Amino acid sequence: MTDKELISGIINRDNVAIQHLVVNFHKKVIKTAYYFVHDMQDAEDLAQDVCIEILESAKHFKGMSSLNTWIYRITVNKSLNFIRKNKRKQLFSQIEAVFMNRDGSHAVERLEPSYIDTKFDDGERKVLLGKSINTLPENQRTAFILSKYDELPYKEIAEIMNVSLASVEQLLHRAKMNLQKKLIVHYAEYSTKKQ
Amino acid sequence: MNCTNFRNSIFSWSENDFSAFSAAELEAHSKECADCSFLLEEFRKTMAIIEQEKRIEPNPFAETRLLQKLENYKEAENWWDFPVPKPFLRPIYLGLGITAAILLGVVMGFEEGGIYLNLTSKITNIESVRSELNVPDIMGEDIIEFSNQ
Repeated sequence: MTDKELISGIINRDNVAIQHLVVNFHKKVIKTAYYFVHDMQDAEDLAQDVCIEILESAKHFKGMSSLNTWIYRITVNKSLNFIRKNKRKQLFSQIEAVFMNRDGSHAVERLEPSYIDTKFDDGERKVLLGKSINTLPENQRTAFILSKYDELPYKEIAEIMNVSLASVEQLLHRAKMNLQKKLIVHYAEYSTKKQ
Repeated sequence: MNCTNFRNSIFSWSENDFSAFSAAELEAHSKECADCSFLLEEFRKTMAIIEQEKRIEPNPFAETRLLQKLENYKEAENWWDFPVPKPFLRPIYLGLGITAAILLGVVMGFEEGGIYLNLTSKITNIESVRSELNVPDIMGEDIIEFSNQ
């Protein structure tokens, strides 16, 4: 089934087309959403939102990009919106924690600690990585996830993000440098907590 | 090479990019500095987490759940079969709706008026029956008596 046939099938609510969409794209959508939100249940919920968005917006798809790119774009936007909403919720719960007199304090950053006594396990590394990626600016985070996790070529990332190829390269370079710094700070923070 | 240079090159090094510093320089520093060596090792292990996360597969029932969700969505869409007017026709539909509401109001007003007229005609009938039977209007008399006093 070509992109055009699939889109016209979706517009006409053809069961075969919808099934084709789900069978061929659901894994990709769930996995990309997971790389952003780091929770499988949330990723599956996001995949449902993405598929409904595809059904609703299929009539507006002009075929300027490939269907794959368009679906990636919707997934990225939905995932970023989800993270934004979650951040707001977290902010409210932090404010609530302050008012309820709970311990909302953070560990003091120690930039030059001695790390060597600290042993991290993979669970901790996963948390640190997730934390570091989530604090990257949105466009750097998107470029990094699409490049490192989804292994998409720069050209496709540029199309999904609607930026130039040079911008993607720059965003990725900045993302790596920031991630490096953030990870080092997080190692320090974490080893301070553990000691 | 110092610690700052080393820490700024960790990512490039983990990707086998030695454009800024040579592998020999970086290795020499990592042997000298225990903290930097630890950071490099941890960084590599953390980056390996990305490879682990890539291998994660969605729940096998996710596909069925997704298809069911879309089926429900389609059913909900079909429930509302009334054609949605095109944007440029909407003011016309709105005008027609308002006119219909006004007309309905006028008709109902007339009907209410009709009921009122029926009631007043019934009252005059009672008056004529009462005068025929010579029934005294007690209230009226009381008022007249009161005013005479």
